Amino acid sequence: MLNKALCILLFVFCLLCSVSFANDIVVPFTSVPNQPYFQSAQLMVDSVENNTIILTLKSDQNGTARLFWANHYDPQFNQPKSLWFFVKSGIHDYYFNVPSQNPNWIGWTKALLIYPEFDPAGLEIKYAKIVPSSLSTNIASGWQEFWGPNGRVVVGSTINVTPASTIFGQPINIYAYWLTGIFFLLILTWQRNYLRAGKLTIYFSLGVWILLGLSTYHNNFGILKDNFDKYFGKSIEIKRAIAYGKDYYDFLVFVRNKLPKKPVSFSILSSRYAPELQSRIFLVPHILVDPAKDNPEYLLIFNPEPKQLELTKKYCPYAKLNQNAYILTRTK
Amino acid sequence: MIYLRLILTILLPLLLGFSIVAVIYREKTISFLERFALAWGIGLGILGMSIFTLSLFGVRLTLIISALPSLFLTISLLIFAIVRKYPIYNLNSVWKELKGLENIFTQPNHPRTLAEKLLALLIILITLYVFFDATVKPIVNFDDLWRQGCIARIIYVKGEIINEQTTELAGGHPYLNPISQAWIYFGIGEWNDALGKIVFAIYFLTLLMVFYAGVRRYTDRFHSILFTFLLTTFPLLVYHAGTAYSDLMQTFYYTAGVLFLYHWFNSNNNLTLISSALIIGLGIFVKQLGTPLWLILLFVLGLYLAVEQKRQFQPLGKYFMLSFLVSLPWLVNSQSFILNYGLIFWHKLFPVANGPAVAAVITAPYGPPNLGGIVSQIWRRMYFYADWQILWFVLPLSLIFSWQKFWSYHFKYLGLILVFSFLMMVYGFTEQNAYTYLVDGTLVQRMMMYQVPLALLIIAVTTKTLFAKK
Repeated sequence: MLNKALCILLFVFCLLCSVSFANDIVVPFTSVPNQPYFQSAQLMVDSVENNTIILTLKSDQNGTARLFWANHYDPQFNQPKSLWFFVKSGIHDYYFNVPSQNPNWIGWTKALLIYPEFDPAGLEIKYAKIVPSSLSTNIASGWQEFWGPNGRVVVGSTINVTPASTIFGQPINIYAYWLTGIFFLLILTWQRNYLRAGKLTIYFSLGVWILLGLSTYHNNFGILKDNFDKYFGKSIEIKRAIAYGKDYYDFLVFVRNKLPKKPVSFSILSSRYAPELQSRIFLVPHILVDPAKDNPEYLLIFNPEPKQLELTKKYCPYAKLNQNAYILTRTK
Repeated sequence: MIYLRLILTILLPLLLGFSIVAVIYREKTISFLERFALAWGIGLGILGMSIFTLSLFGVRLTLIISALPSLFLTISLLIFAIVRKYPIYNLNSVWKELKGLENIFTQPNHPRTLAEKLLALLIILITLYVFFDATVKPIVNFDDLWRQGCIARIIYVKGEIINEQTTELAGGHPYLNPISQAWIYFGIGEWNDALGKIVFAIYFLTLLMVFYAGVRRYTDRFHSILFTFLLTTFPLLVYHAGTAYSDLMQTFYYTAGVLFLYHWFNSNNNLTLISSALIIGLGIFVKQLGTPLWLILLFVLGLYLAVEQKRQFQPLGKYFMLSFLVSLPWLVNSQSFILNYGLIFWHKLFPVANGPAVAAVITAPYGPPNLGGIVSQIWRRMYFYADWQILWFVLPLSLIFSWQKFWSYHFKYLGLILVFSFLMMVYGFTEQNAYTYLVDGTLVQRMMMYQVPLALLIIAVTTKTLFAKK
């Protein structure tokens, strides 16, 4: 009798599983030729019904990646419609309950794109699907989101602000506040002593703080590992080459060797982000000036944008490192 | 060889600081941790100010020239201290404290000592991490490259501080940060921006020392270790220790200044007042904000004297004079905060033709600043980011449940310092340029950093009875 009941239960369970698998939408990805990302085939997925993406990735290194999507409101892949996540070395499953992390998961989803922020040759997308959420996928998604790169990896803005790790799109601090509040109410109800409840609540909040602090220590350990691999045991010149980018550093060394010894004024034209930051300090005592206003004696050209070259009309060649990296000097 | 030179370069300001502290404290005992922290802060501050003063007289800076005034002062003070038999550092007290710290690891295990061991180990680990992080990588952040690091390199290469290049880069920012880095370059004989950042790691260490010793004056060891550990859990503070920004330096000077002033409130020991005046005065030479923070302390000290000391205002006069004199070379400089803003304020009151521009209004995408917007932005940054963990939540919590403590130990004055500092922030952000930095997050957390150890101190001392041994 018991065996019969068990068999029926097992049958119902398998049936439910197969029904839920029928809802799964398998997403084939392909590597885009000459581009460092992977894009899915065209899709037509109702984002309200199917809100969880599950990826199985094989990677030969640790790193970060972005998952973009396009929908019928906005068919472009762009940052507002993206999630940032860690990729671990080896084969792993990644769960994203997308609307809990990004409100732009709306309308009909038309395509997905995965952009690894490391050498894409080492990444393989073994399997991808979009499914309705379940308790287990929600838990996995929240857990991976909490340990994700947001607030844990050093980026340009880290010097000004450190975002909190999130769970379901909400900063972890909010959960800490709620937990402390609920704890206080529970203790107050149980002990009916305001001061005793207050004392225990402070203990509790300090405990939560220590846990958050340990999470921060964990981040510091990650940063230490990165910096150790990147810089430890190297000369200051190699460290600068790593920090500035090898090509740009080589160019700055070339410029330093070619410019006159006495201080001269210079400007730099480049498509790089803020190229003057490194050139100004590296080329001291030479003086960085505005190319449009101050008529510098030398123009440094490094991978310029075509429009920037309009400023070079009054200049002639001075020294050349390569086709995209050279120095011009002012003609009289 | 370079590391040996680095150690020697660090030793001079430390020795100068030790000799100054020895002469201030004479026979009085002071915790070695406080002595070390004060020695570093005062030593490097005075060294920086003396280099700046030399430069104002047009002297071309080299290692020898930069070191000479400090060397002369150190030797004179050491001779004076030795003749008068003042302890330069009290070996007995150092030994006792080291034994006390060692005890943390040798005591038999029960939950409390086990927790002490674990927390002390974590604090040591994060300090080692900070030294590694600061010295392993070159300067990479925006202001490091563009302002502080660049000025340091110009000082090192050209041997001068005030010139067209540096004044353009510095704007109204004081020079202690770049001079400190340039001092390291002079000492090691090369531009090594990774090693130059060791200065900031030492400031981090001294901040922990002065905070631990400060809390220890009012609470037991477990409590002090716990709250020093909590100080190391702030990601922004730890991250800044590995960069060449001035905010951590300012946090050290401000925290030490407030702590010693607070010790004076509780002990009436004039030596702590002198320490506070010296250190907060040197803090004026770190960032522009050093000046308003100094003014806040002066105001609160005045209030304290008016209410608690029956209007005996002599300590205020001494405090003002000492902190003013120590930063005089900078305060009378045309770039300084007081002269800059004083002039602008004067011209607001009495407009003249061809006067300085009152404020350059930039086109910002955030609209004009309004009080509600400013407060809500600051609120959001306090509560929903990782920078200060849940500090600003636990602070009111501890005040609610230990409010009686707030009125003892002169805590209300620390509270007033906090309140005035926040009001200063709100006022500062009413200007359009600053408001942009509030909304885009560039400035607000860094300004809040100065108040964080102070808020933590309030929590530590108000909750101390909760953790008292039964």
